[in-house]
Amino acid sequence: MIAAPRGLGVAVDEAGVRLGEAGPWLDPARPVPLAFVSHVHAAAAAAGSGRMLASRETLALAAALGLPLSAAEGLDWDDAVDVPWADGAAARVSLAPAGHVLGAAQLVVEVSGRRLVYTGDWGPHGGVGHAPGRVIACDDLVLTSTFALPIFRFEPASAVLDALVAWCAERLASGVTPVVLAGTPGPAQRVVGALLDGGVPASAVGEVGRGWAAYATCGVAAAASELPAHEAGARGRVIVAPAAARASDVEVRGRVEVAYVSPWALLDAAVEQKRADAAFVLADQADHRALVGLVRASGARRVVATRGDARELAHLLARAGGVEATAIELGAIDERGAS
Amino acid sequence: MRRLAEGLDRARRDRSRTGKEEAIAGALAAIAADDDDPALAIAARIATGRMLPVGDGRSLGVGWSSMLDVARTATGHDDAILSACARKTGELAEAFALLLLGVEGATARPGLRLGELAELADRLAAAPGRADKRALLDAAFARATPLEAKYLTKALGGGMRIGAQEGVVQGAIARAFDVPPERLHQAAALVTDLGDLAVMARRGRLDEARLVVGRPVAFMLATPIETIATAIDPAAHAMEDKIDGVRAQAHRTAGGEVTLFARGLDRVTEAFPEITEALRRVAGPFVLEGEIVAVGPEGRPRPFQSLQPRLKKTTPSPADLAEARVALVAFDLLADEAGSLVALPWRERRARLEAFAGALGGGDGVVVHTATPVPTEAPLQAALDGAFDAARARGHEGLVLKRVDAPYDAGKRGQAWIKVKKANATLDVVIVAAEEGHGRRAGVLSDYTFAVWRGDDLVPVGKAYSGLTDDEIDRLTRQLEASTIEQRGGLRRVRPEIVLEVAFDGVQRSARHAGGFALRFPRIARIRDDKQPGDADDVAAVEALFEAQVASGHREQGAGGGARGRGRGAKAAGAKKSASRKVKKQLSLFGDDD
Repeated sequence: MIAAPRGLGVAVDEAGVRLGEAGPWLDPARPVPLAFVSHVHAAAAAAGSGRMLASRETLALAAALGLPLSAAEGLDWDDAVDVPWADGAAARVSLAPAGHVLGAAQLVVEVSGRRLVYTGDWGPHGGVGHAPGRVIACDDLVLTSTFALPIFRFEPASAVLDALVAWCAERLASGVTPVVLAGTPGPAQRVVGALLDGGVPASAVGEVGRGWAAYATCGVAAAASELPAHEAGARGRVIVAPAAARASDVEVRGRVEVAYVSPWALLDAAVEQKRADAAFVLADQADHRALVGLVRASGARRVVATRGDARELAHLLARAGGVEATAIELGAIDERGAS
Repeated sequence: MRRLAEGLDRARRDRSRTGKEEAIAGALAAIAADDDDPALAIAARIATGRMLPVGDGRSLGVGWSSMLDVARTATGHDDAILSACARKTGELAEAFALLLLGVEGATARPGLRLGELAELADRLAAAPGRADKRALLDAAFARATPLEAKYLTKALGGGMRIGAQEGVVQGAIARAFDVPPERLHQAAALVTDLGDLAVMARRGRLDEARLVVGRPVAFMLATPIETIATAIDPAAHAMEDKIDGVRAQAHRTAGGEVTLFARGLDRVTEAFPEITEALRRVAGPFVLEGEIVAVGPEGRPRPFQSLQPRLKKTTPSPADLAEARVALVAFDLLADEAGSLVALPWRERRARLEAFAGALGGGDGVVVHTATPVPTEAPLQAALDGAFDAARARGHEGLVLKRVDAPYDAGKRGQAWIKVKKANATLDVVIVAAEEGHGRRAGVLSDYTFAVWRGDDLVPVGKAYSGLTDDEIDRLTRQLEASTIEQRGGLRRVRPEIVLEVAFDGVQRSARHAGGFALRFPRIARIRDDKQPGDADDVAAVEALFEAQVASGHREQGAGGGARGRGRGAKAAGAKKSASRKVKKQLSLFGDDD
């Protein structure tokens, strides 16, 4: 972990990154007095915090998934609230769409005439039930750099999903049962939506089905279609299972082929580890170019990279010039979701 | 190269052995359809992760830092980013390819011709300095597509890591040229370079495969056993002490060129100059096989650990030579001036080896191993126990029994040679996961989860924490960090690349380990750099050890092993036995009379 940069009001402790003197902590790793939960994947770690801020959509999705975020304050996009800052002064905070998963939010902090934005996991494209991440002009930017290395280049999701649907349809036609491993909530629901849109019968295992039902509960129109749960031994449907599952855990008769759908499917070792027959690189996060583009478009002069490849992103930004970039190395938010 | 790279990438993605073979076969057949023999040969070599032929004495002289330089030029990224990307992917080759995808026009490049890669290998080996090699590599990679760069980098680095071991590539050659696999595997035992072999298969000349002095043949292997379950015919076998050293093949051509090859068919000629010098003085041609051991002042073999300092030195200094003197203990003669002897029965090869002993002149560096008839007095097992004790008393590991009528079956592990290992046996296992240690070993990967084979899978059978020096742990830490596939908390799952020999106190059934067995008090006897992951033991070997314990009363059948029932009692009783009795028990290999 690298020491936090001076002057931004950004500090680091065992719970993670903190703004101001008393929070909010940004997606903390443990309960804290004041937490900002950027999206549903980060909910479990922050549960039990004194005060929690999250988007109203994140709150609804967490409730539908049975996650412990009930004590959180749900904010609508761009609604502002005050939080204590330093020396008795308050900061005005509001939320903006981050484009990562349903409800994913960026935290916008206005204090002393400056604006700081924490992006959380940020994606430039929309997904099932949510808009693309917004680019917000700011002075200081704290961003999540999970896929910041230049090896990460993500193709448009529509092309990836088209290829996946075609792959699944081909397998079903030849009597092979496709098992698709994808993170939930998020990529798995995009996969389900694409399959059902393409007229390919699908069923869900465990959290994938609960995620789909939660999307429907949250009013996502695309999730209104029925998604049956996979029954042991059943055939004739694509089986969508959580990325954390092993294909061998899914009870299927006959021949099976496994597709791994994830940003990590870019890496040979990750595909090998999943024992997958096919890999589809589908990301709800920004790749290297999109992250660098976000920094430039925000106009931020000072950037703090956190999580994933923070040190390398800071190095690349500093080398390119124009911004003061530092890194805080933290582990990635657990994308395996609510399982 | 494009077709080969695509074929190798298909093989990587396909999880079945058949699928991998078909993918590589498709590429080789397409290359053979419109390219020449050198192109096919380099393609087959690259598929096995090498640029130069097996047994070739030259070295490319291209290491990690050279490749980092090349990748920096080709991608425009600095070392910090290249290293981070390589850590993320687990290897530089993949990171290099992914970064090249971001270089404008890289995917539209015409690509590399296989013919020029064969030339590249020769020119790299001949290039005198790093700058010369660098210029050759920069020129090649400037024209490589991302996928070509990936597989060329792997070949330059010495490993494909696509789950297609040499046997798969042999299978692919057989498919590509419509040759029965068994015929190809037989030829491959004698023509160990798959480049040469692919050309012979293409030309329909596999029948011409034969031992050539100067070119290594695959080593004949002995089947390990704990007890002899079925009676052997003493008259049909001879007996040798099993020497704990490094297996080697020594070739001397008629022209006087001497080459030493180790188990992996690598040249180790310069590493053992005292052996090389001794052989050069003997008239050739000939091919000797034996075991390289460290020897004491009176020529008595020293423990394997005494040899280890020499194994790290490719060209030892005078001080190294003085510290650990070595000799080749020759136990077989595979060729002499009459040509190849591999088809002759052992007894005839042995007679020629003994005649050859006179030519060796009794100097340092090479000695002929002793072989004796199997004792015929009854009971046989007691006689063999005595022979085993005597071999151990001479400082050796155990016994090898050889059928006197068997030919040298290159590359085979059969019943013609049986090695009887010590009862407190060791297993060769593969590291599949590693964790940091505690206290003094915090910050280094010192706790290893290891596995044995079950079919094509590696199944864990235990964890080991002790037995290595700090230097060895540091080395393994670097290797394991580079081969990490997945990190979760402090636990790293690693590519199965490192073979350990582990000693242990017993085998018990285990529901916790996927292998169904667990080793009791395992400790690392040594790192087996001389072995490939494919050489590690399998579950059947563990089971055989377990059964041997059951047979000898050390343990009873059933889940839980020594944790309950009679097994526990046996263990408790065993612990109270006198030291001498315990030793006797360990050495009683041939029956259940104890």
